Order: sequence, then structure tokens, then C-alpha cells
Amino acid sequence: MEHQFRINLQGIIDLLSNNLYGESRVFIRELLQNGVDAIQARSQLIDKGADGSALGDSLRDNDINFGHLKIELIPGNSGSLPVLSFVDDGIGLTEEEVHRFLATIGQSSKTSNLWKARENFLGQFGIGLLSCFMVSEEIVVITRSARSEDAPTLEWKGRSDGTYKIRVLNYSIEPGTQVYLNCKPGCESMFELDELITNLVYYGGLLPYKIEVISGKKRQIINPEGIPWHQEFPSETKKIEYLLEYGKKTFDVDFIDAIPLRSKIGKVDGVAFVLPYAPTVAQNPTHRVYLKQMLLSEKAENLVPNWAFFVKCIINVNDLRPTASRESFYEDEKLQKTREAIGDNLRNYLFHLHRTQPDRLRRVIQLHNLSIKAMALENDDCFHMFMDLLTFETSKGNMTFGEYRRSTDQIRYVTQLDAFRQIAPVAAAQQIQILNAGYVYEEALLEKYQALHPDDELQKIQPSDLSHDLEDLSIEEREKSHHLAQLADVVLQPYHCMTQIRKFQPDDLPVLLTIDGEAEFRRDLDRSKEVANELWSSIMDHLSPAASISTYAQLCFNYRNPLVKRLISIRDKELLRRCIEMLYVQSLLLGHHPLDAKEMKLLNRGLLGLIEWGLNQIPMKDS
Amino acid sequence: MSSFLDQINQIIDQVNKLPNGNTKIGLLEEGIRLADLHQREDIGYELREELIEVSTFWGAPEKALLAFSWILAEYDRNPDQYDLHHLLWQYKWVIASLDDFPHISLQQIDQAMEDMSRRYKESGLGLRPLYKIACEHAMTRKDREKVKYFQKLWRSEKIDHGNDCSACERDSQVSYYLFVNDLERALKAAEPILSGKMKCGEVPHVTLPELLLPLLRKKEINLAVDYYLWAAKILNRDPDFIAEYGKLMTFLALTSNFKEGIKIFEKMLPAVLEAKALSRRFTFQLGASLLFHYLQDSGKDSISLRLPQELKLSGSKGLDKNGTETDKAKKIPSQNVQIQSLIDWIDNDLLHLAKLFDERNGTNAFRAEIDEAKNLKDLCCVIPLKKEED
Repeated sequence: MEHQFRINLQGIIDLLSNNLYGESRVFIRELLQNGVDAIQARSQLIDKGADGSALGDSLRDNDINFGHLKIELIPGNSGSLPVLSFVDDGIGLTEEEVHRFLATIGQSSKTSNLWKARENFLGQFGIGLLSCFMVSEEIVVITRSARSEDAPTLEWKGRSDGTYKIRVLNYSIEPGTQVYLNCKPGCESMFELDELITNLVYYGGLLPYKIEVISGKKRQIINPEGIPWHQEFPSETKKIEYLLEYGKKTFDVDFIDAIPLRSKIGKVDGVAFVLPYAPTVAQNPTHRVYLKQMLLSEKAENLVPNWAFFVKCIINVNDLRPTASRESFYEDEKLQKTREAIGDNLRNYLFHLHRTQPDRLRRVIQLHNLSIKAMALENDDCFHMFMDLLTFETSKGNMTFGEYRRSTDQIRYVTQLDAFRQIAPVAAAQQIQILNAGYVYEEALLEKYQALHPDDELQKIQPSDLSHDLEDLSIEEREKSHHLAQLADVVLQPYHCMTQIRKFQPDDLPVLLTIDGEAEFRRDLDRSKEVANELWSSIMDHLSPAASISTYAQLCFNYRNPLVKRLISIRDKELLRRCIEMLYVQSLLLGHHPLDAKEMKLLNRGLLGLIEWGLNQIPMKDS
Repeated sequence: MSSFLDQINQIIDQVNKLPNGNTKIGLLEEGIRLADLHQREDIGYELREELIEVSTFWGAPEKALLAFSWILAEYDRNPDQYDLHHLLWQYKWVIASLDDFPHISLQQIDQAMEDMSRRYKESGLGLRPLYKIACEHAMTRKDREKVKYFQKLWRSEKIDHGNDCSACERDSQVSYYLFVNDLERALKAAEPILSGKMKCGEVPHVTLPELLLPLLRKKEINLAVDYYLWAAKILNRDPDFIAEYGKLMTFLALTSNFKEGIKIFEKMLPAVLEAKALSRRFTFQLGASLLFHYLQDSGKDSISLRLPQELKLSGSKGLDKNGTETDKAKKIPSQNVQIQSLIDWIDNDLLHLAKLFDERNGTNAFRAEIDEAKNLKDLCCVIPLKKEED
């Protein structure tokens, strides 16, 4: 007897492939899922019967051993395309159930309904089956229910044009379901043995039932070992070794450590592998997540805490609800608690290293400085334990915060890389230690340190603050250099630059130019104004109230420098002016500061002046 | 020494890896300086586009403005080299922020809007974003006529790809209903935002805080607490949201949650003092003022606070009254502050800001807001927050 679907099957298939399934190989996941569900349903049937009912007894007597999936590939030859069969020894279907699962699909004309339909066994079965139409024009299902001994063997033949036939076969098979797929032209690769095995391992490598692939004389179990982290090991070291090997096999990465994960909430367990390289903030590692041992996603998003980007995890989840995209879980309290538990696992690992293998911990922290910084910011315990071990850039090179703290009376830091670059060399020469907090999380970490240690003095400084720490001149020196100081101020005033004279190392540095944030902003503003049209130029004029002292750059002359000493001895004001201007322009260029039009003019005038002056030294010869 | 292009690539590489923040802004500025130094306008243009985006959404619209005026001029010189639509897309952010700087005159704002409108029309884009901005500016100035006028224009203008995102547009509608005191319609309009269906980098961040006071007025206490907790969780210390933090402080002051309010004040004050977009500072200080007034009313005279170095209060214990340049080197980590001197500073700041804006706008809307805040006392109550959020 021929029946007609009441729905547009092609529409449903399109819906499936466009919305639920990203790629056609998921039909393998769906078939595996159907097989697993059927086996579990059969076990439940027996458990239910365990109260002593006749049904349970008879089932137990007859079905001693089940829980096996067999996948056979019959390769095509010149005239035919390959055929794939999926055989399970699960619960099988009765005729009434076959009609019912089709009806369930029939009601599912919206993605959300499809998802609802998945929540029960039959709906899941039907939707799983539909995914096979992505690779096969015709699906044949042969099934016999395990619910009663005299259940008939049924054959269901469905075509992608929306027709299907059911008939009772005149022979009997073992309870279970067999699905046959004929390769659709264009899908040949899915029906090649190597790719089939790869896909089966990919989705079902952790499944609890034996999965066997057969092709001709070849037979292979694709999940011989079960869940790697559930196995028994003689020692913890052996276990870690084994897990690391598993990690290498799975991701082709030589991880440096493996951390077992476990959370009662969400019924979650797995392994976190410590990456041998530091990933960047934006490229967080993705995690492989299994739902009840079936692969759910390769890039699950919200199961592992944000800060934990030093690990890549493989996790099996039993009791969390995935979202429709299957790339994350519903953000509910259960998920939050699970995430916290995974976070605890990772923290405890580091705490454990701290107690038992401090050298190893130091290496992990060095490698994953950024991730541990994020972690310390998030959690007070981590902060207390790791802050001193975190590496920062300082004016005396890289060192841990602990080393830095112990080597200085006062913690001084700048929050901009640019500012650090301006002052670090000079600070280093004065033995002044300045911490660079210009990278991610660092300023926040120092603020947190301050909040937790209110008695320690932390000082956030601007580049110009450094000059306060430079050695002052004596009264005699000041008198001697007074005219330079005075002239320099006058000469550089139009360029919004103040000057002073101090003594500092290194001797060969004649001047130190520092430009604080506000002054830098004013310079940027002037530069924009030079190119902007009239309207925007006038708007910029009104952006901030009149220039205050803080918008001035600072040029500090080094009294120890021989050149500066010679400048002090010059009495020719015009020559001195030109020298001051050139030192200013040169220090701007050294500090990567683009020159504005006025400064550019200064540079040109200065250079030409020098050339002229040089030429004037050579007596003119008659031509 | 690596070559210029190596340095630029290194900077771009780091920029791509960083979340928005001062670090990213600093790197972009450094890259721009390098590009300018080497007269590579093309690179300078690209980096400035990025800087406009980051600084707009990290509370530094003045930096966006500088960069924008540069790229606008560069675009006009070489229109074939650059992407006009991207330029116009960013134009609306810059225009929207002009109102926040009290020294920029109304005439200048109008001229800039005319320029934007001309460029939008020339490239076939509708003026919807412009009307939205005009409407928002009118709301700040409490100009009911203009609000209604632009609201009408905005709603009837076509939607195209020059538009703000739908979440931002929706938020602006919520603001409009709140402006006309129609909380019911505001909540209805906000429904897709509050259920999480509509969101973006700024929404619901800006929506939640503006609902708090109206909800308190209608005695919708539980809802207000929920929205407060949600907002506190997502604002994430972003200096772009100092006005929103001000609204949270108002809520906390009215519900006697002083501890949480002080935490916000302490945490955000450094960013507030640095902010050049002064209208946001005004909203922050308005919340701070209520907070410390009510705290004083509750019987407190002084509190322990960590204040930024540059802030000098008078008459407070533990502060150097003759603060000179050199005591910059001495940071007082936590100090005992007389609440009265804090209030004096905040209220003076508020009056000063209100004067700047009201004089520029030719209205008294800001001053009126300060005066109205004094009437909020009737709403004072004690509502414990369910959970403590940091």
C-alpha cells in the first residue's frame, strides 16, 4: 500500500540542512545517535521488567547480550554507487511506531518544532533519519521490535520525493534496526572507507557501545578504548602520560600537561590540556564537547571560564541543555555552577603545582602569563597565590612582580606603552624602577593590588614625573646655566614645551623629552587641525578649554652631557637658539613624534643654517 | 631596528588581539604617529578608522573627533582611495558626540550636521540616523517641540544601511517614551531589549540604567533591582558608560545602598576626571551628589576613600592643603574624607558644568535637572539588593 507524506519533504530536508546541520556528514552522527538511543531504550525496557513482570523475564532470557553497532560499506563498482548499512541491536520499531515517527516529523515544519520533536525517542529517530536524505535519494529501514517475541519484521522504504512504502517481510531478523543508504551522486566521498572511519571516530569515538566497521574482509572497532579518562591506571603519572598521548592523537599538539576535570553539577568530566604556546586574547582556544559521549561540538563556547585560555579541553557532558546551534549551552544556573566547578579544577591544579612542583608552576605561568593574569583578576585566591609570580616589563627588564616589589621601595607604573618607551632607558640609568602596565589586565591588576594592600604605596606616573626624580643642580651650577634655561624656555614656548636642567645618566644623552597624555593629545589635535577643513578645524579649537600647563611637553637638559656643557658656555644667543631648536626637533624625531608644520619649518631652517655655517668655515676661492 | 612597516604590522597584530580599552587606543595612536612620521596617509587613514571605532566605544569621543576630522579631509583630497560608506557610517558617531562638548557652539554643531546631511544625500542614504541624533540632542536640551518634530521625521524616514543598528534605534525610542513620561510604552518598546532579543555593544547597557528611576517612581521595586543587578554586571568599567554609572548611583542613593554606590564612585572617578565629554560627567556627578547628600543625611560625617591623585579637596583630613607639584610623588592610598568637602566639590562641579551647557544651549535644562534632583528625596527608601555584585 502506498502512502503520501502530508508535508513537503524536500522543504523539511532543506530546513534540516540549512538550519540544523552545517554539513552533510552529520548524518553519521544522527545514525549513531539513533542506534545508541535504541540500545538504551532496550536496556530500559529490561530494567522496567526487572520488577518481575513476565515481559521482563522473557526478554532477559532471550537477549543476554546486546549493545552493538555494525556499519558495513559495500563499495560501488563500475555500474553502481556504494551502499552503506547501519545495523543496531536496539529496541526496534513496531508498525504503529513507524507511522508515529513519521507523523511527528509531519508536524515539524518549523525549526523550533523540529527541536521539540527531538526530545522524545521517536521524534529523534525520525529527524535523525531525515538527515540521511542529504546523502541518499532512498532510505530503506528494516526493523523488528524487541517488545514482543512475535513482532513482525518490517520494511520501510522512503524516497526524497516524499513517498514511502511499508511492508511486512516474510522472514524474521534479530530485534533491532537496519538502515540502508544508496550513495547520492556527488556524495561519494562520504561512502569511502577512510572518510567513513574518520567520521565515525570523530562523532562516536567515545560512545559506550561497540561500533564496528566492516568492508569486505576488513573489520575495525572504532572505539576500542572507551573514554580515555575513565580508564584505570597503575599511577597518576601513567594516567597523565596516557592522556597526553590521547591529546596528541586528537589535536596533533604536544601539550605540556593534562588536568582531569570533574563537576557533579551537569554531570561533567573530561581533560584540560595545557597548551604549549600562549594563545592570544582574541583567539581563545576552542573546546571539544561530547553530550552523553556523542560529539556535540568542536568549538563549544560557554562551558569553560573565559580566563582559562591556557587550556584546550575535551569534555563529556551528561546533564546540560545544548542550544539549537549545538555550539553552546543554555546560560542557566546549572551551567554557571558547572563552569565554576571547571574553574575550580583548573585553579586547584595550579595550587597543587604551587605546593608540589613550584618550578613547573613557574614555567606554566611564564608561558601563560596572560591567562593567569586574567585568572588572578577574576579570583582573589588566585591573585594572592600568583600575583608575585606574574611577569611584568620593567625599566630593568622583565621580572616577576614579586622580584620587582622586593627590589624597590615604591611601586611606580605607567599605563601606556608609549610613556614607558619614553622614560624607561633614562629611568634604568638612574636605577629607578618603573613598571610597564601598558598591556592587557596589568593596570587592573595593580589597582587590585592597591585595593588589597592599602598600606603599600603604588604610584601611577606620567612620563614628566620622572624628571622630579632626576638630580637637581647645585646653586653654582644653576647660576652658571641660568641663561640657557631662560633662553630655552623662551625659544620653545611657541611649541608648547617647557624646559629644565637636571643631572642624569646616561651622560651621552643631551636631553630627555617627555610628553604626557594631555600634551600628546594637544599635539595630535594640532596635527589634525593642519589638515582638517575649516569647519572641523574650528570645532577642534573648541573641543577643550584653553591650553593649560598640563598640555606642555617637557624638555630636560642633562647637565652631565658634554654637549650641554658646551652650550652653557656659548654666549652667542642666535647660535644657542638654533642649537636648542635642533635638540628639541631631534628629540621629537627620536621619540617617533611626527612634526607639525611649525616644527618641520624649524628642522629645515636649522639644517640649512648648519650647512651655511659649515660652508662659511671654508674660505671662498675665486672660480 | 625593525623597518617602519614591520613596526606597523606588529602594532596592527597586537591591536587585533586586544579588547577595546586604553591599551588598544594607545597602540593605535602610536601607529598613527609612525604613519604620519613616514607620511603614509593610507596607513594613517586605516588606523584612524580603527581608532574612531575604539575610542567612540571606550569613552574618548574627543580622540574619535580628531581622527575623524583628519580622515574627512584626507577623503576629500583623495576620494577614490577610500571607502565612502565607512566614512559616513562613522560620521554619525562623531556628530552624536558633539553635543557632549560644551565649548563647541550650536552653530558649529548645526554646520557639521548640515555637512553630514549633504554627504548622506549625495550618496543616496536616508537621513534617519541624523534625525535620531537631532532628536537626542533636543531631549538633552529638554526642547519638547524639537523632540516631537525630529521624532516624527525620524520615524517616517526610510531604513537603509546607513542606519544605526536596530538595538540602538530601539533604545532611542525607549528614551523618547521616558522623555514624555510614558513608562508603560517605554517598557513595551524595551521588551525585545530586555528579553535579550535585541542587543549590541551598547544595548542593553544604556537602556537598563535609564529605566531605574522611572521604575522606582512607579514602585516597580523588584524589576528595578533586577535591572540594576543586570546593568552592574555588564557595564564592566567601560568609561563609555560613566553617565550610566551616574544613573546607577542615583538608584543606589535612593535605595540606601550606599556601599555599592561608593564603590562605583571610587572605581569610575578617575575615568570621569579624564573624560572630555562633559555632559557624561554631569550625569555621573548628579548621581554622586545624591549619593553623598543622602549618606550625610544618614548621619555620616566622613568616609575612607581612594581618590585620584589629581583631585584636591579642601578641608579634608589627610590631604595636603598646599598641594604643590612635588606631592604628586606621594600617593595617599586611602584617605579619610569629610563628606561635606566631597559634596562641595561635586556640587560646584555640577553647577559649573550646568552653566557651561546651559549657556551654550541657551536653555536652563541642566540647571533644572540639578534642582529637580533635590525633589527626589520623597522616593528614598531602603531596598536591599538580592545579591552583591562587584
